[in-house]
Amino acid sequence: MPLRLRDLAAHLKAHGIEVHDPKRGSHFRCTKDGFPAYQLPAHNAMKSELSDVYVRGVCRHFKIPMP
Amino acid sequence: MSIEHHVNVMNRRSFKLSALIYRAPDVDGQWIAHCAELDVISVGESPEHAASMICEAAALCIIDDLRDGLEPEDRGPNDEVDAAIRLVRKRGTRLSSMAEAVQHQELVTIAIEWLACVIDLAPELNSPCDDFELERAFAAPAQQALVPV
Repeated sequence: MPLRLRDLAAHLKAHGIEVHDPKRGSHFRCTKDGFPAYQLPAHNAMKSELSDVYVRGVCRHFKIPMP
Repeated sequence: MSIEHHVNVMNRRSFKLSALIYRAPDVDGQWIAHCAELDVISVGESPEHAASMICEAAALCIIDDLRDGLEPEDRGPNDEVDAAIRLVRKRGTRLSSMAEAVQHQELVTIAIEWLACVIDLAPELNSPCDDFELERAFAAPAQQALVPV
């Protein structure tokens, strides 16, 4: 199911993942100890709607359950 | 060869990357771009935009990893995406540019290959976004590709 970026960010934060604003470019940066950083596309800011394909990708990367 | 030139050559690292670009199955007007080698995904509002976004996302991943002392290639590959890219390459038509894909984007899956360059070990890592170079692009009808949904 697609998710708003703000809802995905809340899900990530609930699992101990920090979401940092873009320093340059169009991606938020997600970090958690023990994992490489992951990029969240942010060109429509927190209103962005993200495909389930993307949501599954980031959850797989951080080994967390789907929202 | 001067020392400076030698250091520059030694520090330069290039990453040959590829991505599968296809229409998001569940969000109207959105295109998914999935880099096989790094298993990182980004999105865009057109195939061209998705290509630009995945190049940026991949570059940022590489920079993050090098700064953190990690090896970017340890992130992947995603074998399913890699297989789909090979299928598009085999069955698809070679594009002269991403703009060509936009002309017939209704039912298309696109595979792109590009070279991301980065200066490793430098005090301030250069962004490879600035010198990313699209090497090849292919397009195939969506139903012919094994899009990993």
